[in-house]
Amino acid sequence: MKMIVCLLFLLLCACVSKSLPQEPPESPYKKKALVLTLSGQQAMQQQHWMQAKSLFYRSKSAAELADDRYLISSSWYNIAMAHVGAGHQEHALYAFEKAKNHASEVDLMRICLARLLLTKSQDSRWLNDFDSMHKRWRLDIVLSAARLAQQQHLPIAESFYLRVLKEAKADQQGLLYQAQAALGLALIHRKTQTLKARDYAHKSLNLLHQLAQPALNAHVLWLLSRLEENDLRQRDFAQRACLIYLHLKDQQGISTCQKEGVRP
Amino acid sequence: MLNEHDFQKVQRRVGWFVILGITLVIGFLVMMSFRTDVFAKKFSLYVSPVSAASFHIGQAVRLHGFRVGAVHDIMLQADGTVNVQLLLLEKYRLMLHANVKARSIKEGFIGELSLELVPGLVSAGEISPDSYIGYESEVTIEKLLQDIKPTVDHAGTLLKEVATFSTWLNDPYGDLRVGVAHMRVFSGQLQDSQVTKLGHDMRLLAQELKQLTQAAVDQKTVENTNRVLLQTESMLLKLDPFIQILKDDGTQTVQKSVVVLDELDMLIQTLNRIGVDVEAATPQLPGLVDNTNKTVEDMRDMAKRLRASWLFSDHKEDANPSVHTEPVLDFRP
Repeated sequence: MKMIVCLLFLLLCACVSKSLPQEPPESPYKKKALVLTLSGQQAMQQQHWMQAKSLFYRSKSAAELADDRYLISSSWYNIAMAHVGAGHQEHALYAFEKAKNHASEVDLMRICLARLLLTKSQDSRWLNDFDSMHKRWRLDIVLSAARLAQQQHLPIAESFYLRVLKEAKADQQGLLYQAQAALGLALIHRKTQTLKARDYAHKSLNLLHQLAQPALNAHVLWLLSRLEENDLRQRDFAQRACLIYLHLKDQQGISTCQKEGVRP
Repeated sequence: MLNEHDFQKVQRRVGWFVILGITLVIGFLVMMSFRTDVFAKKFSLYVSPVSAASFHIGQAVRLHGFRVGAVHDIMLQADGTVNVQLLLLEKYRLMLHANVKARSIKEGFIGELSLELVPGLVSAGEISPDSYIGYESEVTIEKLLQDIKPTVDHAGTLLKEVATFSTWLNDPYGDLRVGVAHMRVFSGQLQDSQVTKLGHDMRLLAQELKQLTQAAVDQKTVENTNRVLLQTESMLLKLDPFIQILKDDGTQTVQKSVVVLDELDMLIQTLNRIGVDVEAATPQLPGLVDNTNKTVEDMRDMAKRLRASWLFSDHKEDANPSVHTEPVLDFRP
């Protein structure tokens, strides 16, 4: 009993000592870089690539003034991602090169996967360095690995996607990962197991309805229009997808719609 | 009747009168020509604007507000481009340099359009006649509006955000009001009894602990330890109602208040994006952008301080978000 009371007392002391957190002062430039990064991430979520790029460049400048090498590297990575979104491959590759400087092992893997995805590489040597179950890989890395494996028609893609589906949290980021993983699984099964693919696509669509991801939504709808057997539903999905492509001014999507003769 | 002598006299007078008249007319013309530079030496420069809509022959060309020439000719070339010939007084050539530029300006809001020459840098050297110079169109209100439109759009988004935020703040059954009400009840109860007692007991404990340390040195450890443990037990019993309040209201209050911080975050980010737009559209307004940046930083500081407070200290994930953006993956079927 006395031992328990002693432990409780120590716990209480620990709680009291935590009540007055004293934070070390932070460089104003670092603070600025972080704020700009957050804003850029928000712009990325809304697919405002150019605006995001501008914010990330400003974040990089602030990080350079703060001489924070980790933030500089992550800013270059973010710039590269904004270029990927905007379809500027050359610029993205240049930014990835810059991001490699001072990047941690995890970040190097992130950069490596992003580069391979961008160049649509068929080189599967990267798999030797990648153990999908390793705890240090965050889910965004596993998701990128899954997409790359899928591009290279490697069967391991499915297990990567399943891990993302299992481990992603129920917050906004987690829901997005789950939606992407479900869509990835639907794409894997689309030719062999239509029913399973349709289930995954519907799961992805339900998740996307909670998020602001119109481009992904359109892709899922288009996939569903290809998987659906009922003509009426098929047309409905296709029209909904084309309507989103039109709003997004997605030329590739619009031309696919025109080729298939779908009028939103 | 006029005799021959008188007639010759009248003839001479008329002659003088005509000569004087002609001399005056010539003198007047010479004087006018000097005044208007009709016979002054001139040289040509060319501009190649996208459209000839803002030009007309005879249009004044000015340098620092002084008329130095005029538009002499406007030509549409075979390849569809427009060439405008400017005829300028030679005496002003030394004031112009190789990187001279022409731009359309309006004399007042509804005045006539004229061409203003921007002399350029001395280091560029003297301009040679018949050369092509750059042209900048006038910054019209329409153009300004076009440039500023994206900013206005985003400002609209901000206003919408602020409106939503304000509605949400003022909703009597909204998260914030309910959260604040809980917080008030929670803190009120704390102030009334438990906190004071807790503080008092903790002080006693600290004293006891000090004595304990001292006692350990004096080899009287057992007796004093018993006293401390008894004291701790009684204090923990007193803490029960306090823990109950935390259980009942604390979690809910913290959860509600986290929503406030998320809303604040969203506002910060929107403000930041507007800052970027304003900077891009109106680089001449750095002060405004600086102010936006400052506001954003202040707001972030405030949010961070709130999060760092003991009430929110469990939400570490929000305080340190990832600095890497989500991967952009192409899932096009």
